[in-house]
Amino acid sequence: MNPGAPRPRIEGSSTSAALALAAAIMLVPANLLPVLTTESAGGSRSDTIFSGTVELWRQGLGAIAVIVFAASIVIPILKLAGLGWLLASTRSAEPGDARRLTRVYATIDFIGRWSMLDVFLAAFLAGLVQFGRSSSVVPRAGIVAFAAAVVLTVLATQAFDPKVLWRNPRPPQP
Amino acid sequence: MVFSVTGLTLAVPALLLPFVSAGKLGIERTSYLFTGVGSLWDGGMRSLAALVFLCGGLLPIAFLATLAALNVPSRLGWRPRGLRLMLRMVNLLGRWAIPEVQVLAVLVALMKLGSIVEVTVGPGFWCYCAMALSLLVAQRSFEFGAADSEGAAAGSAASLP
Repeated sequence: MNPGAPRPRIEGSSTSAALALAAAIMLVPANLLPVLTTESAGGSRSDTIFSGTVELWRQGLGAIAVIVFAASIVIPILKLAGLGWLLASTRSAEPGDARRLTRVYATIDFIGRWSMLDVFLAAFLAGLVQFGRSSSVVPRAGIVAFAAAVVLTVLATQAFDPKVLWRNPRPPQP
Repeated sequence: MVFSVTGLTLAVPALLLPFVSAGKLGIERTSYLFTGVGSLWDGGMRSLAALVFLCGGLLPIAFLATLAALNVPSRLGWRPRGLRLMLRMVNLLGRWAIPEVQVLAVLVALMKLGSIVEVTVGPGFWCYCAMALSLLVAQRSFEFGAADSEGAAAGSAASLP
């Protein structure tokens, strides 16, 4: 390879790293704070993302619980881990890894959208289930943090330029 | 082209017709596509309302409109305008227009609510599902035809003075 070739947008990767880090930080309140409060005749209960999934499972909706668990918990973490791996690889990757890593990037880019499931779910429930005190759903701060984490992750993916994976990491010394 | 125009047409009833109705203790409540957005907005979660409005409503429609604007003029024998901008928009909007995720969210919500309240799916939701499907097909066929489109774009750009 030509060592004199202009280096592709390295600053692009640091933007991506910053956004990914911000997303990882937002995932903490997103998972710890309640996302929904359900008022019903029997009282009110607040659910975090995880307890909401467990509740679905407990209601006998196993398949639905698995879908929500995958979209809300597995995908965000996998996505950030994958992005972290890609960002780390831009420094140390062997030329042979580029093809595989680009495939990882394409996968991350494709699955990311499904994390928005919980956001749409909260919005829909908040709009429909409004029967006064007997039954209502109120979205809570956790869902805002979760949405922020998802948006930041998508932006981080967008800021990452897969071209840097194809850059020769260690140009031959003259 | 067919699918982008179909999707755009379906967006109208998806916006206007009842989405899902729920009844409990004699109270009936009907929600439309943007009812949830309104509730979030009124509840003070404006950023979230904006996000749901954009990803589930405005951007899918903008995406379909862009695909239609790219395809329809060339069918009619006109030279499409602003190709470079529109191709960039297809790339950008494709990431953020995610009606299929909202369809899954509504299905999950229906399953979850089914045991608690009586839910009825309205025609608006079916139109929205069909719109989401048209969008996916239109996007897929656009991507597969992209080599052609780019060739055509290069050709028409070259012929510009």
